[in-house]
Amino acid sequence: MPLRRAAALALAAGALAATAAPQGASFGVEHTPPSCFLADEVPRVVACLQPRSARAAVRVLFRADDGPFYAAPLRSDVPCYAGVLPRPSAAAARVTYVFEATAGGVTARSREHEVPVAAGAGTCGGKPAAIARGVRAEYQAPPGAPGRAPGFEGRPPGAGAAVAAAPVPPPRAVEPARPPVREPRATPVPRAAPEPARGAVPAEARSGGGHAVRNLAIVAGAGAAAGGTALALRNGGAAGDATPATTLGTGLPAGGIAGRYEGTETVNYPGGCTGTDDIVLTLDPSAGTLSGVLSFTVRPCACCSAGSGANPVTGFASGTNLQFQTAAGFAYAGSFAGNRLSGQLTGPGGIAGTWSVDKR
Amino acid sequence: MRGAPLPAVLLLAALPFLAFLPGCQTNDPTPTPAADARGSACGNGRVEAGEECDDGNSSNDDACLVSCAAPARFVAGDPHVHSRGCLVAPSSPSRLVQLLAADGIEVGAALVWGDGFEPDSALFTGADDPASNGGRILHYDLEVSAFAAGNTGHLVMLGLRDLGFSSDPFRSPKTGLSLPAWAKAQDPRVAVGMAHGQFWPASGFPSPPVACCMPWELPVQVARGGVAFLITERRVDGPVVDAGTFQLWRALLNTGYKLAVLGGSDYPCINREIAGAPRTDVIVEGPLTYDAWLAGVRAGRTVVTLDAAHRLNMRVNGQPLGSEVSARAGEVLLVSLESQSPEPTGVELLVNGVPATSVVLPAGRQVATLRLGLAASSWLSARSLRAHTGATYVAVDGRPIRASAADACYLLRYTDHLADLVRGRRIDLGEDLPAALDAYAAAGAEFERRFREAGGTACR
Repeated sequence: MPLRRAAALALAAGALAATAAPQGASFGVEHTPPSCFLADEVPRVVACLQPRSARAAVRVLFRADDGPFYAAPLRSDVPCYAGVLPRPSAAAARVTYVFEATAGGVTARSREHEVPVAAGAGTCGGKPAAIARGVRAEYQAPPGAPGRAPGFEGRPPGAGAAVAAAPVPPPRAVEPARPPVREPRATPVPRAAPEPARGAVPAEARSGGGHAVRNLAIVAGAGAAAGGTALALRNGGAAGDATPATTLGTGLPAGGIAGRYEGTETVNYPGGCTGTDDIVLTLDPSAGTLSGVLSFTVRPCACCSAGSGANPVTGFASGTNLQFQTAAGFAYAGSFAGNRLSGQLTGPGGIAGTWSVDKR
Repeated sequence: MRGAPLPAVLLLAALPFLAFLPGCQTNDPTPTPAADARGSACGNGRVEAGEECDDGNSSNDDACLVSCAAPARFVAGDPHVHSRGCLVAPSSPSRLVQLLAADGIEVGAALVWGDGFEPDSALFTGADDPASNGGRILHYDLEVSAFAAGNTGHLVMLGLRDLGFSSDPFRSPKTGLSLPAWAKAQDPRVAVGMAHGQFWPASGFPSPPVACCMPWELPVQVARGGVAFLITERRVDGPVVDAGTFQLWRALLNTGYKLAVLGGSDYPCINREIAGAPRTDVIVEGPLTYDAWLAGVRAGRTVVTLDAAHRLNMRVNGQPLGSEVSARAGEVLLVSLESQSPEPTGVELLVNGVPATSVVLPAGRQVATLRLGLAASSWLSARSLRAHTGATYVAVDGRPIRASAADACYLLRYTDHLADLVRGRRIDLGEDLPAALDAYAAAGAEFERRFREAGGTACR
């Protein structure tokens, strides 16, 4: 990694720390880098959100040596996220990468990692990255860059005309020396959100507690609108804490679990198509078990037409966590943060996704 | 639905996601709470685009299902009863209405046939029988049975204005090939089908002698566009749609034809009681009339059931049974299975006649919506132990259904088999033989064309 780049990121981080940035995210990204990437092997990379119950769209921005940054998606791999990079070529000296997680208009990024490329495990100097066999990396190129990432072998699926026709934006996080975006208001107000129930935000949240954000750089996206009845982005963190804290309501919702929840789910279908559903969840707890109904409306997407459906659900809750399954074979796991209930879903045939609802 | 716990066996078998489009993404895959949701949400209590209703509650026992669809209005009917025949004392129209009502059947088609033709013909008026009452309809129509043309299968013709298909029906014609056109020329409401699918063998081809009622010419009639439905009258001791009927039905649908499947009692012949015999739930729109019921039959909005307590419905992308739904390859289809049962019930989803997945639904009126991807045009159907829906046809990328070259070959070989039977006088068509052979050859040529379109190369 060029020193200039490292300095730029450090500068950005320092700006955050020094100014105790008013914006924060409700989650951070954790990752332990390997000692090396093995040349000509597909490395598997894993990142976890903190807290683990947080759900986001996660990707890894990567490059070899001083090449441009490319982006590869990570998929939910409970309780974390996993993905693969293309095979670094033996000619590459190192791979630089950073994870980026976005949810509700807020983006969190991991520390930038620089990992050498080794010809074999014997020259790795430690534990090499896990190898993913039988898979090819899917990734997107920034505008103007070649479809195939320099310093990596092979071709990404769909590379060529499709990639050239729809280039991805350059990875903002690794643009040099750009200070974090500062929102004009400290507490975004959810659009059209009802007033939060007073009891929905536990006292600890109102007093500034919550999950510390552990990653280095945090950028609140413009128009952050991850509103919900219990969501309260706020200044926070103890004095001297370099990372701003964000509080989402914690604990169970006011009035208990029973009731109606509205929100959305993101469904990743096999083959890479992603759709979004608007969902209404009705939960009826009884003696430790849950029953209810999950109604959904599918928004049009590249592989979906608009439509609605519903399924009975059954499951159980334990503390602030719950699990339920639908008659159609979808399994949902999530946890409460006040009136917000969010988590992951899996479905038949390799469907995976995330969901988030607020109690109404 | 109201909070009934689900059995532990609820999870589905693997859903057949076939060839989803690669690389398609929405712009914003991040889940957001409803406050900034951009779409409508079924269950939010507001009727929005694409919803038939939305009452915002979690009950299916009202005028709106939790899937935001209005419950289908099923009318239980028996398309195949008789006042007379089979060595049983005649039933007057009022007695038939009474028998049907006792089993919860709202529409009965009382078919005049060759046994007792003259006295029963007097009951035929082309209108509902005067014995119809209390919202229950009895309507006399025609079954080509015990006439000469019945030797090639028992055509059931509903909605007729006139019974005079022949000046000498006991001698001529000897094939029913011309009768559907004769019937449908009378009135657009007419629906023509064939009875006794249960006599078809579950494998191989039928051959004389047979005990009764083989629908010999059904594949040919379907290829000619003559018939819209096939009736099974088999009693309870097996699948709701018996193996023979299913074999014939599946082969025709897999070759790209549309055919409704119905259940009937054939009281008092095949079944000496109406109770317990197959019946047909028909989705009826608007006020219940015989014409509205026939419209549901013609459209294929039918479910074979065994009693009034078990009902089953299937919608694909919100479209009713019998519809043709357009889709792109790999597009996610929403398949809603709606059951009504006094006990938890398992429901299988069939794709091209093959079980693709199943759900177990709690007792009561329930909805489960599956997501399904199809790589090629297919037909879907659902079945439980007590009900079996008709088909919905999914045209993928505008292509016709050619689901099985083997089934197309089966039909092609059957027409050769049938031609051999009539040439050998094992089915005697008399002077109608040349015309019938021409029709069989034409049907065979169409089956062969579809066989090749399905990817077949050599049908032997």
